[in-house]
Formats: sequence, structure tokens, C-alpha cells
Amino acid sequence: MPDPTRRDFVRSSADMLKGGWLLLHLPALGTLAACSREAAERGDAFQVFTPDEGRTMAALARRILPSDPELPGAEEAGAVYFADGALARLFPEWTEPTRSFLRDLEAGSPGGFSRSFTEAQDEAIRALEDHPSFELARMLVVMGTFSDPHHGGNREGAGWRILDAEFLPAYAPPFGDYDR
Amino acid sequence: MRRFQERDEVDFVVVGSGAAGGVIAKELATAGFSVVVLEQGPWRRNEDFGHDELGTWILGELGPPPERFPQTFRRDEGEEAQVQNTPPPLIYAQGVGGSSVHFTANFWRLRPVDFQERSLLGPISGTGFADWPITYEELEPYYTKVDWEIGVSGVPGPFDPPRSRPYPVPPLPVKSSGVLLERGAERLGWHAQPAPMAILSEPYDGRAGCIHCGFCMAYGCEAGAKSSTLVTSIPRAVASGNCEVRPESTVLRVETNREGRCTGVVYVDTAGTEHRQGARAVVLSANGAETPRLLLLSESSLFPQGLANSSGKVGKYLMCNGQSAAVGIFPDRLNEHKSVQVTRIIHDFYETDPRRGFYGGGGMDGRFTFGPLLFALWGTFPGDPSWGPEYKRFLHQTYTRTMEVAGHTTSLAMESNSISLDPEVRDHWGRPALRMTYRDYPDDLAAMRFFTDRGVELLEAAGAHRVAGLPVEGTSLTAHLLGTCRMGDDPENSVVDRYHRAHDVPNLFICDGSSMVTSGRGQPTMTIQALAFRAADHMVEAARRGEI
Repeated sequence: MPDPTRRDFVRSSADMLKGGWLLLHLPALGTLAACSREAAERGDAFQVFTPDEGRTMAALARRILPSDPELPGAEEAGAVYFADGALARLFPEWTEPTRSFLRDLEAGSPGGFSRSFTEAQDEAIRALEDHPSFELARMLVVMGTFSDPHHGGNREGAGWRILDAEFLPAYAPPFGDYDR
Repeated sequence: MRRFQERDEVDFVVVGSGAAGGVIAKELATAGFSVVVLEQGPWRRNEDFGHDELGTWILGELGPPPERFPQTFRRDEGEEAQVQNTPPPLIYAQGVGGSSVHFTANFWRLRPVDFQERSLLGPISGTGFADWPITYEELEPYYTKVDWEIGVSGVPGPFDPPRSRPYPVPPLPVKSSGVLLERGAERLGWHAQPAPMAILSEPYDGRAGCIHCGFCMAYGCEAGAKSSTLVTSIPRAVASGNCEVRPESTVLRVETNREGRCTGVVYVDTAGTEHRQGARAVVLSANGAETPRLLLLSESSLFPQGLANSSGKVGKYLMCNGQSAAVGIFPDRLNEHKSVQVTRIIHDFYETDPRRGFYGGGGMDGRFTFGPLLFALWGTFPGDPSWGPEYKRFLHQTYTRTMEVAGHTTSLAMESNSISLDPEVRDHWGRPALRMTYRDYPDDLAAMRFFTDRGVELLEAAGAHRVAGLPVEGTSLTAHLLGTCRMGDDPENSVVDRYHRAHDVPNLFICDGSSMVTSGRGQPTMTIQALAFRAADHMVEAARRGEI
């Protein structure tokens, strides 16, 4: 099956908003086991990324969802470890396109992407926003920040804090400010 | 659960355990007939369902695995269909309860006009626009039966069709999106009403009420409050002692004899072993995509175009319902991630109004499609940054303050829109893949644009400080699988008669979304279940008369 392209995802996102009949199927099955999270906590080596790729991915994650004094970002969520585990188990066919993007990202910055200052990193990302695999790398970071924590990302509910929402198993009315 | 031997000839074999199949199995079994239900997917329990957005939406864990069961799509016959798995064009859940497990549970009845609109408006060029052979009045007792047997929460609204009995359960508590829908409607002179939902607002019939967890659309309900056939009809069918449900059993073909009657079905288990189940009559309720595929795959020398297809209409007249969306951000918190998707709807624009310049109408609702992951992936407004500090600030400030007004609209039946067998791509069992051919009729696109504009107006009137209408594009995926074995009195133009019996095969019954003649205005499941109760009544009568 063909690799999902940015165009597909842009179209999917438009469909997604249209009344919600979309089940977005991607071509892999299975769940990312909690062992990915444990690996991250133990500081284990990556399963898919080389150390260099891991550094680039971590630097990219920090620019997609930057940490700030008030709120965690993709780094605290462990998104890079989620991404590594997801490429190993959920989306192996994304591995090569993601690698190619990370290579191009490093090559696009004088002195290397991961060693650059943030302004230069943002510039390098902007230059590659139309790269066919940018959206895959972005999705990995976002999934690693906002997916259910059992998939290995969203550590200590970092994603929930970014969204400024409480996530509980059940609720009772009133639900929001307008239905009080 | 009672078990039948494959060598036994049961009274009925029912293919599919979803909205229609579950109801029919229960009705037949409790009337004393022996029934075997064959279901492609697994038999999940309530405790198997959770809140995993990645697993449910991205990995599609409740649907057929796309790498084993690919589907193809094309706009028209002139195009070569392409595999489309991200997402697939035809969306349905596999498992006992079928798509009634994962649907959003909007539960609108059709109105009298939906059954007779062709007579009222006249023909529409290039379409198969037709009246139903039955009326709302004939179906009303069965709508009421669905209300009470399946469990529906609601209260009648100003434009509702006549009903013979009140709802069994009051409406679900209003959410902020519902309050804002009411506020906007009032300012515009429209009428919002509580949404009828197949989700229990309070305990009913031995089941718990909704716990407002917020994971309905595309998810199974761990509380059992969503009124799927998994927790309503199927347990009753099994408790009758006359029904066996066989999960993970995929039917490959319907068998017929030289007299042109069904004798049973051939199915395959997960290990790939073929089995045969004999039956006096066969009921197909496999959904509006799988039912026509099964008929087309059951061709024989007696039925060279596929079973029950002397009309050539099997798989034709696919209707998906149009969808539209407008999104608005409000100053205060809505917290739409809590509770059911929809609590208020608007039906002011339901009927066709010639002054609008197009055929069609629809309904609107206030909702929020996204969970946290989907919102972070795709919830930004067109043109806004999708990474960086500004993106993060958008997520932080708007996730709890956003809602959507969704429009659900008519689709005209066109013979060129269809489900057919892909000539190239095959699935895990070697069957030709499902191929969807679909191009919206111009009036259907006009209706979607009209509802997008109404959604924008409504959000602005309700006080949203930022609003966007999503662009209307041609339909390329759908969870509404309608019209592909349409009901009618004329065997040359329809597949089943008014009692869901195949015109060509006396002991073959077909009842699911495929039976529908017009699309209604979205939310077809209520009607599919009313049709199923009615069809089952006639099957029982026919069987008692010895006519199956």
C-alpha cells in the first residue's frame, strides 16, 4: 500500500471535521506496549533510531511542542520514545520516510539541526514544511504527546496539561460554563 | 447458549449481527424459530471497550484490518479505482453488534415526506429518485418498538412526525454545545430541540445510564449505556434458547439449489477452514456494502449476474448522506470532551424548499468530533500553525472552548454510485475487494454548502469569537451505507419487495441500510432498526404459513 502522503492527511483532516464519520485507518495494527515507556524511563537505547537520529527527533519534538516555564512540552511527554516504539511496532513503513526527513533536516542546518539555536531550528523546519515526510514526523511527535499514556508517550499527563483539560473516567453535569 | 450442528438445517441463518441482524435474530428466535447468526468480527464484552483514541481512530481496531481487507474507491466508471486505506471509503465496525457498537447514536426517525418525496416533488433528471413502497404510518409502530426495546432517550420536538408513544427515557443532560445551539437558534428564529439518542440517560431495562465519559463516536461503550444490539437484542436472542451467535465467521457465499432457492451459506473461520450452515431461509443483514458484495459473489448458472440481481440493481444507488461542518471558538469553557457527542439538534431546514434552488434538506447538531489526540493532530484552523509556540498556545486556549455545528443532509439515489467487486484487488480470503464508486449529485453538494453557511451563522449568533466553515468537497468515505439493495414493488427496478423478500429468491430476505430507497437526512440507524422489526414480523408470519 502506498505511503500516506501529506495530501492524504490534509484531506483526511478536512473529512475528519465533517461531521465525524471518519475512522482513520493506518496500515498497522497492534498496540505499543508499556515496555516502551519503561525503556524510556530506564534510559535504554532506541529500538529504531540511531543515537544521531534520536537526537534530531528529540530536537524536532522540542520545536513542535516546546516546553516553557508554565507547561510541559513534547520532551517531558517522552514523545521521542513513543516515536521510536511506534516505528518499531505500529508504523514500520513510516521508518524510512521519517529517517529521510531527519537526514534532510540535519543537512538543512549549517552545523547540524540538533546543534543549532532554536531560531535556526525553526527556520530549518519552515524550509521543510512541504517535505513529503514532515507530516509523518509531526504526527509522531503529536501522537507521542497526546495519545493515551499506555502507548508510551504523554508521560505524567503532559498532553492533558497542554490542553488545559481534566480527563477523568466519567463526569456529571454541569460539564462546561454555558450549561451551568 | 444453544449450539447447533452444522449438519442441522436451522430455520434461519442471519448474516450479520448489527443494527438489523441483531434485531431480526432476536425477533425470530423469541418467536420460536431456530436461528444461527454469523458475524465476521469478535464477540467483545463491555469491559473490552476503552478510551484509546490512537487504537480506535488511528489504528481502527473495531473495523476490518485494512491490510487484510483492502477497499478501493473511484469517482466514476471512467476512473480506475485506487486502494484507499487511510482511511477506507466504507467505514463499519466488525464484531457482535456491528456498527451499532461504534456509532455516535444519533437516532432520528424519518418523516412522512422522506417516504413520498418523489411524488411530491416530481422526477429529478439523472437520478433514481423514487418513493418507498411503504409509508411512515406503516413504519411508525416499529419506530416505537425500537424506542422501547432498544432504549432511546429523548422528548418530541416541534417538527417531529407523529408518534404513538412517548420516549421511554428522558433526554440526556444538555451540554454547553447544546445551550449555545439553543442560544444561536433563538436569535435566528430557528428551533433547537433535545437530541434523540440511543444512549440511556438513566437506568432502563436492566442497563446502566450514561456515565458521560465522552467516548461514544467510534468507540464501544464500557458502561453498556449505548443501546447497541450487543447489549440489547443479541442477549435476548441468545436467552431464548433458540439462537446461536457464531463470531469470527465470515460468509463467502449463499448457496442455492436448482429450484432457485437458498439452501444455506458457506463461511470461513479465523483459521481459514470452510464450513457450511444449512437453513430453510437466509437473512442478509451484513450492511449496505457487505450485503451486495455477498450477493454478487453468490452468482451461479441460475443467477449469472449475482444472486437476487435479475434487475441489475444489486450494489447500485449507493447513498451516503452529505456532511457539512462549521467550527467556532467561544470565550468560556464548553468542555465538549465530556458526555455524549450531541445534546441538541435543529430541524428547521429538513424539507426541500424550492426557493433554495436545490433539492434536499437536512438537520444540524452541535457537537465536538475531536478527542485530545485528533484535536492536536487536525484541530487547528486552516492556515494556522501546526507546530511551535503559537500552535501550543492554540491547543491550550481552545481545546475546551471549541464546538462544531455539523450538518447532515440528503443524498440522491444515482445508479452510477455503487458498491461493486474490484476486478484487481483481493482480500485475505481471496474475495474481490469492496469497490466504491461515488460522485455527489450537484444538489447534494449545494445542500452541504447551504448547511455549512447556516452553521457559520449559528455559531456567530451564539457568540463565537472565531468561526470557520469547512470547505465542501466530494464524498470519498462514508459510514452510511444506504440504498444498495433497494426496496420496491417493481422487480425490474428494485431488489427486495416491501417485506424485504428478494424478488428473485423466495426464501432470501435482505434487511439493512441497503433496503433504503431515499437517504433521509442522516442518522439512518433508527430507520434500519424499525425496518428490521417490521421485516422480522413478516418473516415470522411467512414461516408460520410455511412460505419460506
